Amino acid sequence: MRKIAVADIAEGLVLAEDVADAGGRVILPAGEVLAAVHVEVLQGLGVATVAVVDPLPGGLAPDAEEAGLRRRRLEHMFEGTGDDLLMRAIHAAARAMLDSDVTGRS
Amino acid sequence: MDENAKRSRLAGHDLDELIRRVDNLPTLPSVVAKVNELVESPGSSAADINHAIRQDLVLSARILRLVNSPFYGFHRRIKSVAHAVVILGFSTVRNVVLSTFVLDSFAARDLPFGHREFWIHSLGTGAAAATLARRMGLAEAEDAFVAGLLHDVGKVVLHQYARDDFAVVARAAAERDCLLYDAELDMLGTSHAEIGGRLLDAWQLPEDLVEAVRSHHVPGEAGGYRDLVAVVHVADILARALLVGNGGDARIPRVNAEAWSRAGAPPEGIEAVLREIADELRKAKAFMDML
Repeated sequence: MRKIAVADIAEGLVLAEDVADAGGRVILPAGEVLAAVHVEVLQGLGVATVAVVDPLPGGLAPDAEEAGLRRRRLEHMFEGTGDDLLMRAIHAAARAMLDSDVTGRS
Repeated sequence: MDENAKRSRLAGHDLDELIRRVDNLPTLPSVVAKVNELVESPGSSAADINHAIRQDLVLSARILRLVNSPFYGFHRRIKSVAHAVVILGFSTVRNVVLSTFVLDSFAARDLPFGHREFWIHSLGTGAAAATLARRMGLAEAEDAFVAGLLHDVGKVVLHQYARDDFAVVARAAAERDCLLYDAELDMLGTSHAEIGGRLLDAWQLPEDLVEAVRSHHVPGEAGGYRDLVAVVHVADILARALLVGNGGDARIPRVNAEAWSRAGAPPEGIEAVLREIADELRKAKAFMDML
């Protein structure tokens, strides 16, 4: 993980920590793959630096650290959908798949 | 400019202007249009299609590379376009030609949310759609692949033809942490699905493809072709759940229950479907190499 200035964000870098607004609401979750639009959003929030990691290679069989970031991204994606049984089932399957991929490698 | 003023500017007269611009979209290149026309007309022969494709040597080479990739899974090498047409069938060849054109001409654009991530999401949706269609025994799983690949093409159109407005919408979706689709409806009064449908319709592509793209966020409102619409709707959601690429926002649409019962899996079977999709996506690597 390293800290970079928001202006130096290059497409494809992965956010290593959540970014929240002044009220504490997470706007961008750790694990989000950064692009041009996020530079403006982060500047709008008054954020000067962010923690990033390099792009995830391949992405389908992550190591434990990558899996942690992917897991965070997954949880954020499904926030607010838990009242829906089908969404819960899809969420659980996606989570199980991430977890077993990590187990399978270690 | 405050948020309300921004919204009314985008949703006001600019919508008419936007639709006009989209209706004047470039037509398909003549080779692609010709192949599509030949596939759609009952009197065409394999030789006609072969002849049309071979007018474009670059396209011919790309087609051969794709049809010999693991995605199509032939054991023997296909050495000529003529052979590819016979062995793959007309509509599959049309789909390969169309995929090649779209990835070639639309992929290299500076989308605000990252063009490579965007096209990986599109390929992931294609792979998911092909997997679901095969499981359902839907006529041609590979049509579903193209429908998935093209489902978000309207986002590229909006970026190219309404660049400033679309940048504002993409930023708003990130700030509000909502679906890009919802921000589009709110601020533009239309959506990438509607715009994508218009594009494919203007290109005179098959109606099921047009409907699948147009209705992938609202499968309950589809005028027909409900199986393919359901496949693309569910495929988009499963590709997101697999974290394959980025469709332009950090959220996931809620799945439509009726579409899920057509195209989905029992709750205990979802993980197996996700694994099949991941395998399918590995086979589609030849398409990713074109990005």
